Amino acid sequence: MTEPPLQTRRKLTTIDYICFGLVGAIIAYAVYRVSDVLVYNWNWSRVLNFVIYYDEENARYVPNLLLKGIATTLRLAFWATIVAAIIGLLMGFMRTSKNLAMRMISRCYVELIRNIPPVVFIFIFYFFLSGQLMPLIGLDDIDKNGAFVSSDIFFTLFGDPKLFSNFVAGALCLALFEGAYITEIVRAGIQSVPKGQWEAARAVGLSPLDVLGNIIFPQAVRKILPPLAGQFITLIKDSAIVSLISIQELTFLATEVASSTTKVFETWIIVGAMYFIICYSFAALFAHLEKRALKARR
Amino acid sequence: MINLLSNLESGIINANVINMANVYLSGLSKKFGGVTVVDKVDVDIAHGEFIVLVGPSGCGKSTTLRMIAGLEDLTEGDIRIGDQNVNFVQPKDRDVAMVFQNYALYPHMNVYKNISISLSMRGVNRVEIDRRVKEAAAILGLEDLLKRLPKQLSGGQRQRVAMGRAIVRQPAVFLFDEPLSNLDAKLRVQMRTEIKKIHQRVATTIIYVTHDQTEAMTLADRIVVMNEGKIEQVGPPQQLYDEPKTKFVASFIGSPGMNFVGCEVVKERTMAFIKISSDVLIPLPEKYLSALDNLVGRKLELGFRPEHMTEPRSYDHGHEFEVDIDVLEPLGNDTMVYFDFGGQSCCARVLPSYATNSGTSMALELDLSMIHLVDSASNLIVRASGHA
Repeated sequence: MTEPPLQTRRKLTTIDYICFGLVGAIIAYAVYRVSDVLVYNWNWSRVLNFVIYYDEENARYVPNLLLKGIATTLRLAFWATIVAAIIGLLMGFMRTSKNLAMRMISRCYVELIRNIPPVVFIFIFYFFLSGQLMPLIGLDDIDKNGAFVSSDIFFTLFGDPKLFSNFVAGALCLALFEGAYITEIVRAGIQSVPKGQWEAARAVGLSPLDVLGNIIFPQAVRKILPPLAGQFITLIKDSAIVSLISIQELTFLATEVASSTTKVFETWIIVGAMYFIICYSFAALFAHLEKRALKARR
Repeated sequence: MINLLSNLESGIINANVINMANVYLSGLSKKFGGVTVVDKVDVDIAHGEFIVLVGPSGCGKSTTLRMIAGLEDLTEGDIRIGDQNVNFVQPKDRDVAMVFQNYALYPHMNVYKNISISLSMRGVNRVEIDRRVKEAAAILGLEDLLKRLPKQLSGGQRQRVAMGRAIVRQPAVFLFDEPLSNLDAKLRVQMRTEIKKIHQRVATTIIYVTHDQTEAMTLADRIVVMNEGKIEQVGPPQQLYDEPKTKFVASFIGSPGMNFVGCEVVKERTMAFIKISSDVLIPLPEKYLSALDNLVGRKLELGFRPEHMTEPRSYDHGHEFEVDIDVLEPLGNDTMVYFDFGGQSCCARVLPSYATNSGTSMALELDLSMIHLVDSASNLIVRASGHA
């Protein structure tokens, strides 16, 4: 006989109060150490000005470096996710292929990326991409004053046109890195579909490609989407790594703000809070969408 | 329960549209590593024939079916469908359709889409797809379920959808892999009848796998009995029941299976007997007398079916015994009697009224015209000529 599910308690017990007390004590101790031992002079307003400031000339609030950094981070995450999803889908299909060569190529890609530190990977690929690939595809020679390039749409999608090739290189680096993890998500999704589904479809006359596109993938998508959403949030956090190659996203700009203001704690606490708000918002959104999808499926 | 017969009689599916095909399996073998799971299977299946592969779990019947479908590579031998060798032909090009044990319906598609998907993938026009789906739905009583998802269907309905998916393709060969084993007993009987009716209507070759010999007996034109990857016997159901060639077939076909008791044939002056134990002697039936010299001194087993060991009925060739009852199993129309016979537990089928009145022992009569002798060394049934 199966046991009834554990009920989640609504009332606080003595153990709960002890736990809260311990957490509170740790926080209080940390605050004490920072204020008394470090003898640190806090100045939040100075750093907050780098988030948003009042433009007296136009009499309105204007986003400053850190908010611009967030915009770049989100752009990076958006494009890197799209490219990573394409790479992941392709490699994921290859990973489940009957063809040995395809399986080996995708496995090498996954293992290579999973077993190289991200920093090392980013450096290698960035210098290869910016030094070899960008000139090859002519991104360096893009007309910075062209109608589309100088438009608001372009700026919204890609940021400053002067830094476009730099942005693309960073997004591709991130995409290649995250693509390996998406590959594994796709592989697991495809392999989670019962073998009988492949066989049933093939036994009533569908070609392997039809089976994959019409029978397997629509079922796999349901398993793939939740971890893919999680991977998008991970990618937002991982995007901080491209600050090492001078992409002007949130972490890179935070480093500049911290060094110019010497307000290290304030800067990084604010940046941490910004990352938290973005990631938590997306997590809540995806959880809500997943709930709705589950309801619709019932 | 839908009235299938009226649907079928209304001529919904045109048998002429469906391709007819003989299926030839010759020397068909399959090895997994060093283990041979199908061993040199040879069967010729005529077009329109309903063939049932039957045998215990792991005997290779499903693997054989999967090789015909193209879902499993063969190690040796040939498969021909019609006049085409399909050894290396993709499943989609074999002109077969398979119905699975677990139905394997596509959970993200409704019934209509499940049935029509193979047609739309082959580029059949919408009007034709709609016509075929509705015809299949009418045959299977699915008209009201076309918009439902598989999770909203019962087991029997899912099975019908799986069959519909196969029917719309109008294949040359239908393959059924234990399609009724997930259904409850009552529904299984209903679906069995429906499958039989559908076969009578569409007149296509059906190769059907089951481990249930009752299913095999009721559905098949011919039964292929398999054991340990080999074919034991092929023949019409009644022939397998009346004239099994091996001990395995004799015990597998029929429910409950045949009883076997160790024995030997002895000659006493002008008489010949089957000796079961020192105190049990049965007159040797006439059909074996011509082979008497061949039988004497050989290690044999006496085989008889429960239905041929009954309450005394004064058979023309009967022999009566007094037995001690171990267990009585009332089944309603019959009662099974389990008793010890020559050191073996045996089973007889008697009338309920007869069983009720008996005490701890019972008189039973064996119909000697229906007994079989088995050669213990080869496990082959001894023919009247005396040869196994």
